[in-house]
Amino acid sequence: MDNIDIKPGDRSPSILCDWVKGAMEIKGESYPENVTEFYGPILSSMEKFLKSNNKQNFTCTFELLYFNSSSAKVLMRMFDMFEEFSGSNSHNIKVYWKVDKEDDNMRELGEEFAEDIENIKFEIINK
Amino acid sequence: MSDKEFSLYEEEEKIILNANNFISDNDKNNLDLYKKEFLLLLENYKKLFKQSKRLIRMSDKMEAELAITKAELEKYSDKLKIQATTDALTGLPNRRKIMMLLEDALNNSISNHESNFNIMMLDIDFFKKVNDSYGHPMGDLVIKEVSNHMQKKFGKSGVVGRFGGEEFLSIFYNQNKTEAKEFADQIRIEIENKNFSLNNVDVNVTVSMGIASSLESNNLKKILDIADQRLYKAKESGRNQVVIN
Repeated sequence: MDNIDIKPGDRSPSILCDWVKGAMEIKGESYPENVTEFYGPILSSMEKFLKSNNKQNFTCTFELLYFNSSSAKVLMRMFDMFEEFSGSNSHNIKVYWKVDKEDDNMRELGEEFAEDIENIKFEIINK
Repeated sequence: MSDKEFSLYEEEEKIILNANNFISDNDKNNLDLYKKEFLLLLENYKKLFKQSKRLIRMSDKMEAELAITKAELEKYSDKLKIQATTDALTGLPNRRKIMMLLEDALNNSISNHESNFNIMMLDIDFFKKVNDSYGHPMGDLVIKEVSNHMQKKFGKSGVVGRFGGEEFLSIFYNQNKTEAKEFADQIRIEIENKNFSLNNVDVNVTVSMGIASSLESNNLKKILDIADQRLYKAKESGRNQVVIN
Protein backbone atom coordinates (compact mmCIF):
# COMPACT_ATOMS: atom_id res chain seq x y z
CA MET A 1 0.00 0.00 0.00
CA ASP A 2 1.41 3.39 -0.99
CA ASN A 3 2.30 5.89 1.68
CA ILE A 4 0.50 9.24 1.62
CA ASP A 5 2.34 12.55 1.53
CA ILE A 6 0.02 15.50 0.98
CA LYS A 7 1.52 18.97 1.22
CA PRO A 8 -0.44 21.69 3.04
CA GLY A 9 -2.83 23.70 0.88
CA ASP A 10 -4.48 27.07 1.45
CA ARG A 11 -7.40 25.37 3.12
CA SER A 12 -6.15 21.87 3.79
CA PRO A 13 -3.66 20.29 6.17
CA SER A 14 -0.52 18.32 5.40
CA ILE A 15 -1.05 14.59 5.74
CA LEU A 16 1.64 11.97 6.11
CA CYS A 17 0.80 8.28 6.33
CA ASP A 18 3.56 5.71 6.67
CA TRP A 19 1.80 2.37 6.69
CA VAL A 20 4.99 0.38 7.32
CA LYS A 21 5.87 2.40 10.38
CA GLY A 22 2.20 2.58 11.35
CA ALA A 23 2.16 6.35 11.67
CA MET A 24 -0.07 9.12 10.47
CA GLU A 25 0.24 12.86 10.97
CA ILE A 26 -2.32 15.55 10.12
CA LYS A 27 -1.09 19.08 10.56
CA GLY A 28 -2.38 22.58 9.83
CA GLU A 29 -5.76 24.04 8.98
CA SER A 30 -8.62 22.01 7.62
CA TYR A 31 -11.52 23.53 5.72
CA PRO A 32 -11.11 22.00 2.26
CA GLU A 33 -13.47 23.09 -0.48
CA ASN A 34 -14.56 19.51 -1.01
CA VAL A 35 -14.10 17.57 2.19
CA THR A 36 -15.14 14.20 0.73
CA GLU A 37 -12.74 14.56 -2.20
CA PHE A 38 -9.90 15.51 0.13
CA TYR A 39 -10.38 13.00 2.92
CA GLY A 40 -12.07 10.18 0.95
CA PRO A 41 -8.85 8.53 -0.33
CA ILE A 42 -7.22 8.84 3.11
CA LEU A 43 -10.12 7.23 4.93
CA SER A 44 -10.23 4.55 2.28
CA SER A 45 -6.49 3.74 2.64
CA MET A 46 -6.78 3.86 6.40
CA GLU A 47 -9.65 1.39 6.35
CA LYS A 48 -7.65 -0.95 4.09
CA PHE A 49 -4.69 -0.69 6.43
CA LEU A 50 -6.73 -1.34 9.55
CA LYS A 51 -8.53 -4.28 7.94
CA SER A 52 -5.48 -5.96 6.48
CA ASN A 53 -2.95 -5.75 9.28
CA ASN A 54 -3.76 -7.32 12.56
CA LYS A 55 -2.16 -6.39 15.84
CA GLN A 56 -0.08 -3.54 14.63
CA ASN A 57 0.92 -0.34 16.37
CA PHE A 58 -0.66 2.69 14.76
CA THR A 59 0.12 6.19 16.01
CA CYS A 60 -1.87 9.17 14.79
CA THR A 61 -0.79 12.69 15.53
CA PHE A 62 -3.14 15.61 15.02
CA GLU A 63 -1.68 19.09 15.12
CA LEU A 64 -4.53 21.25 13.94
CA LEU A 65 -4.89 25.00 14.15
CA TYR A 66 -8.42 25.23 12.79
CA PHE A 67 -10.96 22.86 11.29
CA ASN A 68 -14.51 23.32 10.07
CA SER A 69 -17.57 21.25 10.95
CA SER A 70 -17.21 18.92 7.95
CA SER A 71 -13.63 18.17 8.93
CA ALA A 72 -14.80 17.52 12.51
CA LYS A 73 -17.26 14.98 11.11
CA VAL A 74 -14.43 13.31 9.19
CA LEU A 75 -12.34 13.14 12.35
CA MET A 76 -15.27 11.56 14.18
CA ARG A 77 -15.46 8.97 11.41
CA MET A 78 -11.73 8.30 11.81
CA PHE A 79 -12.02 7.88 15.56
CA ASP A 80 -15.00 5.55 15.09
CA MET A 81 -12.82 3.49 12.76
CA PHE A 82 -10.00 3.42 15.30
CA GLU A 83 -12.43 2.30 17.98
CA GLU A 84 -13.73 -0.43 15.70
CA PHE A 85 -10.28 -1.79 14.82
CA SER A 86 -8.57 -1.59 18.17
CA GLY A 87 -8.66 -3.72 21.25
CA SER A 88 -7.05 -6.80 22.70
CA ASN A 89 -7.31 -8.84 19.49
CA SER A 90 -6.67 -6.01 17.14
CA HIS A 91 -4.42 -2.99 16.68
CA ASN A 92 -2.79 -0.92 19.33
CA ILE A 93 -3.87 2.58 18.29
CA LYS A 94 -2.69 5.76 19.91
CA VAL A 95 -3.89 9.27 19.14
CA TYR A 96 -1.86 12.32 20.07
CA TRP A 97 -3.75 15.62 19.94
CA LYS A 98 -0.98 18.21 19.90
CA VAL A 99 -1.88 21.74 20.90
CA ASP A 100 -0.09 24.96 21.54
CA LYS A 101 -0.08 25.33 25.32
CA GLU A 102 -1.93 28.62 25.01
CA ASP A 103 -4.54 27.32 22.61
CA ASP A 104 -7.33 26.51 25.07
CA ASN A 105 -9.87 26.27 22.30
CA MET A 106 -8.06 23.50 20.42
CA ARG A 107 -7.45 21.68 23.71
CA GLU A 108 -11.18 21.77 24.49
CA LEU A 109 -11.98 20.48 21.01
CA GLY A 110 -9.58 17.57 21.62
CA GLU A 111 -11.37 16.88 24.89
CA GLU A 112 -14.68 16.78 23.01
CA PHE A 113 -13.32 14.08 20.70
CA ALA A 114 -11.78 12.17 23.60
CA GLU A 115 -15.07 11.96 25.51
CA ASP A 116 -16.54 9.08 23.54
CA ILE A 117 -13.33 7.15 23.08
CA GLU A 118 -12.98 3.87 24.96
CA ASN A 119 -10.64 1.47 23.17
CA ILE A 120 -7.81 3.69 22.06
CA LYS A 121 -5.35 5.84 23.91
CA PHE A 122 -6.14 9.51 23.26
CA GLU A 123 -3.63 11.91 24.71
CA ILE A 124 -3.65 15.70 24.55
CA ILE A 125 -0.11 17.01 24.59
CA ASN A 126 1.39 20.49 24.62
CA LYS A 127 3.68 21.41 21.76
CA MET B 1 -16.19 2.26 1.80
CA SER B 2 -13.05 1.31 -0.06
CA ASP B 3 -14.63 0.68 -3.44
CA LYS B 4 -17.11 3.55 -3.58
CA GLU B 5 -16.94 7.26 -3.10
CA PHE B 6 -16.65 8.40 0.51
CA SER B 7 -19.65 10.15 1.95
CA LEU B 8 -19.52 12.41 4.96
CA TYR B 9 -22.85 10.97 6.07
CA GLU B 10 -22.03 7.35 5.31
CA GLU B 11 -23.24 6.07 8.66
CA GLU B 12 -26.52 7.97 8.57
CA GLU B 13 -27.19 6.86 4.97
CA LYS B 14 -26.48 3.25 5.88
CA ILE B 15 -28.94 3.37 8.80
CA ILE B 16 -31.68 4.82 6.60
CA LEU B 17 -31.00 2.25 3.86
CA ASN B 18 -31.12 -0.63 6.35
CA ALA B 19 -34.35 0.68 7.87
CA ASN B 20 -35.96 0.99 4.42
CA ASN B 21 -34.84 -2.49 3.45
CA PHE B 22 -36.13 -3.85 6.72
CA ILE B 23 -39.58 -2.34 6.16
CA SER B 24 -39.83 -3.62 2.61
CA ASP B 25 -38.42 -7.07 3.37
CA ASN B 26 -40.23 -8.04 6.56
CA ASP B 27 -43.64 -9.07 7.68
CA LYS B 28 -45.32 -6.04 9.22
CA ASN B 29 -47.20 -8.22 11.68
CA ASN B 30 -44.05 -9.65 13.24
CA LEU B 31 -43.92 -7.26 16.18
CA ASP B 32 -40.92 -8.91 17.87
CA LEU B 33 -38.83 -8.38 14.77
CA TYR B 34 -40.05 -4.78 14.51
CA LYS B 35 -39.32 -4.15 18.17
CA LYS B 36 -35.76 -5.40 17.73
CA GLU B 37 -35.26 -3.20 14.70
CA PHE B 38 -36.82 -0.23 16.49
CA LEU B 39 -34.40 -0.64 19.41
CA LEU B 40 -31.49 -0.80 16.98
CA LEU B 41 -32.68 2.38 15.30
CA LEU B 42 -33.08 4.04 18.69
CA GLU B 43 -29.49 3.15 19.62
CA ASN B 44 -28.22 4.53 16.34
CA TYR B 45 -30.30 7.66 16.76
CA LYS B 46 -28.93 8.22 20.28
CA LYS B 47 -25.36 7.86 19.05
CA LEU B 48 -25.86 10.22 16.14
CA PHE B 49 -27.82 12.69 18.26
CA LYS B 50 -24.92 12.81 20.69
CA GLN B 51 -22.52 13.27 17.80
CA SER B 52 -24.68 16.01 16.34
CA LYS B 53 -24.76 17.89 19.66
CA ARG B 54 -21.00 17.53 19.92
CA LEU B 55 -20.51 18.84 16.37
CA ILE B 56 -22.65 21.90 17.06
CA ARG B 57 -20.74 22.58 20.30
CA MET B 58 -17.43 22.30 18.46
CA SER B 59 -18.64 24.46 15.61
CA ASP B 60 -19.77 27.14 18.09
CA LYS B 61 -16.35 27.07 19.74
CA MET B 62 -14.57 27.47 16.42
CA GLU B 63 -16.93 30.27 15.38
CA ALA B 64 -16.35 32.12 18.66
CA GLU B 65 -12.61 31.71 18.23
CA LEU B 66 -12.82 33.00 14.66
CA ALA B 67 -14.87 36.00 15.77
CA ILE B 68 -12.23 36.87 18.39
CA THR B 69 -9.44 36.47 15.82
CA LYS B 70 -11.36 38.62 13.33
CA ALA B 71 -11.85 41.38 15.91
CA GLU B 72 -8.16 41.26 16.82
CA LEU B 73 -7.17 41.41 13.16
CA GLU B 74 -9.44 44.38 12.53
CA LYS B 75 -7.95 46.20 15.52
CA TYR B 76 -4.45 45.41 14.30
CA SER B 77 -5.32 46.42 10.77
CA ASP B 78 -6.72 49.79 11.97
CA LYS B 79 -3.55 50.34 13.98
CA LEU B 80 -1.42 49.51 10.93
CA LYS B 81 -3.44 51.86 8.73
CA ILE B 82 -2.85 54.69 11.21
CA GLN B 83 0.85 53.83 11.49
CA ALA B 84 1.18 53.73 7.70
CA THR B 85 -0.16 57.25 7.35
CA THR B 86 1.22 58.93 10.47
CA ASP B 87 4.64 60.38 11.14
CA ALA B 88 6.03 58.66 14.23
CA LEU B 89 7.87 61.68 15.68
CA THR B 90 5.21 64.36 15.31
CA GLY B 91 1.96 62.41 14.98
CA LEU B 92 1.22 64.48 11.86
CA PRO B 93 -0.02 62.94 8.60
CA ASN B 94 3.07 61.59 6.85
CA ARG B 95 4.10 62.22 3.24
CA ARG B 96 1.91 59.38 1.94
CA LYS B 97 -1.16 60.71 3.78
CA ILE B 98 -0.61 64.33 2.85
CA MET B 99 -0.24 63.29 -0.83
CA MET B 100 -3.55 61.43 -0.59
CA LEU B 101 -5.20 64.52 0.95
CA LEU B 102 -3.72 66.68 -1.79
CA GLU B 103 -5.08 64.39 -4.49
CA ASP B 104 -8.54 64.56 -2.87
CA ALA B 105 -8.33 68.35 -2.61
CA LEU B 106 -7.26 68.64 -6.25
CA ASN B 107 -10.03 66.31 -7.51
CA ASN B 108 -12.49 68.31 -5.47
CA SER B 109 -11.27 71.62 -6.89
CA ILE B 110 -11.41 70.29 -10.47
CA SER B 111 -15.06 69.28 -10.07
CA ASN B 112 -15.98 72.34 -7.99
CA HIS B 113 -14.20 75.58 -8.83
CA GLU B 114 -15.13 77.12 -5.51
CA SER B 115 -12.96 74.53 -3.74
CA ASN B 116 -9.61 75.95 -4.71
CA PHE B 117 -6.82 75.60 -2.19
CA ASN B 118 -3.28 76.72 -1.50
CA ILE B 119 -0.37 74.63 -0.39
CA MET B 120 2.51 75.76 1.73
CA MET B 121 5.88 74.09 1.75
CA LEU B 122 7.78 75.02 4.91
CA ASP B 123 11.40 74.24 5.67
CA ILE B 124 13.27 74.95 8.93
CA ASP B 125 16.29 77.11 8.09
CA PHE B 126 19.73 75.70 8.88
CA PHE B 127 18.21 72.69 10.57
CA LYS B 128 21.33 70.62 10.02
CA LYS B 129 23.22 73.13 12.17
CA VAL B 130 20.73 72.57 15.02
CA ASN B 131 21.40 68.84 14.88
CA ASP B 132 25.14 69.25 14.50
CA SER B 133 25.53 71.87 17.23
CA TYR B 134 23.00 70.71 19.83
CA GLY B 135 22.46 67.05 18.99
CA HIS B 136 19.52 65.07 17.57
CA PRO B 137 17.33 65.31 20.71
CA MET B 138 17.28 69.10 20.25
CA GLY B 139 16.61 68.61 16.50
CA ASP B 140 13.68 66.31 17.31
CA LEU B 141 12.33 68.81 19.83
CA VAL B 142 12.40 71.61 17.24
CA ILE B 143 10.59 69.41 14.70
CA LYS B 144 7.96 68.42 17.28
CA GLU B 145 7.36 71.96 18.53
CA VAL B 146 7.18 73.46 15.04
CA SER B 147 4.70 70.72 14.15
CA ASN B 148 2.60 71.37 17.32
CA HIS B 149 2.59 75.08 16.68
CA MET B 150 1.46 74.69 13.08
CA GLN B 151 -1.18 72.15 14.00
CA LYS B 152 -2.66 74.49 16.62
CA LYS B 153 -2.47 77.43 14.27
CA PHE B 154 -4.19 75.67 11.39
CA GLY B 155 -6.90 74.08 13.54
CA LYS B 156 -9.71 73.15 11.20
CA SER B 157 -8.79 75.64 8.49
CA GLY B 158 -6.27 73.28 6.89
CA VAL B 159 -4.05 70.26 7.24
CA VAL B 160 -0.37 70.03 8.15
CA GLY B 161 1.80 67.07 7.26
CA ARG B 162 5.45 66.18 7.69
CA PHE B 163 6.74 65.94 4.16
CA GLY B 164 10.14 64.62 5.14
CA GLY B 165 13.10 65.65 7.33
CA GLU B 166 12.61 69.25 8.37
CA GLU B 167 10.06 69.95 5.65
CA PHE B 168 6.32 70.36 6.25
CA LEU B 169 3.52 70.60 3.73
CA SER B 170 0.23 72.27 4.56
CA ILE B 171 -3.03 72.63 2.70
CA PHE B 172 -5.09 75.81 3.22
CA TYR B 173 -8.77 75.43 2.49
CA ASN B 174 -11.05 78.42 1.86
CA GLN B 175 -8.30 81.03 1.73
CA ASN B 176 -7.05 83.00 -1.21
CA LYS B 177 -3.34 83.34 -1.81
CA THR B 178 -3.05 86.74 -0.10
CA GLU B 179 -4.82 85.44 3.00
CA ALA B 180 -2.62 82.35 2.91
CA LYS B 181 0.46 84.56 2.76
CA GLU B 182 -0.69 86.60 5.77
CA PHE B 183 -1.40 83.41 7.69
CA ALA B 184 1.98 81.93 6.73
CA ASP B 185 3.76 85.13 7.79
CA GLN B 186 2.11 84.91 11.22
CA ILE B 187 3.44 81.37 11.60
CA ARG B 188 6.88 82.46 10.42
CA ILE B 189 7.06 85.33 12.95
CA GLU B 190 5.72 83.20 15.80
CA ILE B 191 8.34 80.51 15.14
CA GLU B 192 11.07 83.15 14.86
CA ASN B 193 10.10 84.47 18.31
CA LYS B 194 9.86 81.07 19.91
CA ASN B 195 12.48 79.59 22.23
CA PHE B 196 13.13 75.91 21.87
CA SER B 197 14.48 74.71 25.24
CA LEU B 198 16.06 71.45 26.17
CA ASN B 199 18.18 70.82 29.28
CA ASN B 200 18.56 74.55 29.94
CA VAL B 201 19.77 75.20 26.39
CA ASP B 202 17.72 77.58 24.24
CA VAL B 203 17.68 77.51 20.47
CA ASN B 204 15.94 79.80 18.00
CA VAL B 205 15.09 78.91 14.43
CA THR B 206 13.49 80.57 11.44
CA VAL B 207 11.47 79.03 8.64
CA SER B 208 11.13 79.62 4.90
CA MET B 209 7.98 78.94 2.94
CA GLY B 210 6.78 78.64 -0.64
CA ILE B 211 3.08 78.89 -1.43
CA ALA B 212 1.28 77.66 -4.57
CA SER B 213 -2.37 77.65 -5.52
CA SER B 214 -4.49 74.98 -7.18
CA LEU B 215 -5.52 77.72 -9.61
CA GLU B 216 -2.00 77.59 -11.05
CA SER B 217 -2.28 74.03 -12.38
CA ASN B 218 -4.53 70.99 -12.55
CA ASN B 219 -1.52 68.78 -12.06
CA LEU B 220 -0.51 67.89 -8.53
CA LYS B 221 3.17 67.40 -9.33
CA LYS B 222 3.22 70.78 -11.04
CA ILE B 223 1.63 72.52 -8.02
CA LEU B 224 4.18 70.86 -5.73
CA ASP B 225 7.01 71.89 -8.05
CA ILE B 226 5.80 75.51 -7.98
CA ALA B 227 5.67 75.53 -4.16
CA ASP B 228 9.10 73.90 -4.04
CA GLN B 229 10.59 76.48 -6.44
CA ARG B 230 9.16 79.31 -4.30
CA LEU B 231 10.56 77.72 -1.17
CA TYR B 232 13.93 77.60 -2.92
CA LYS B 233 13.49 81.24 -3.86
CA ALA B 234 12.75 82.11 -0.20
CA LYS B 235 15.93 80.33 0.83
CA GLU B 236 17.97 82.01 -1.88
CA SER B 237 16.61 85.43 -0.93
CA GLY B 238 17.92 85.20 2.62
CA ARG B 239 15.50 82.75 4.35
CA ASN B 240 12.91 83.57 7.04
CA GLN B 241 10.33 84.64 4.47
CA VAL B 242 7.24 83.54 2.54
CA VAL B 243 7.25 83.56 -1.28
CA ILE B 244 4.01 83.42 -3.25
CA ASN B 245 5.11 84.41 -6.75
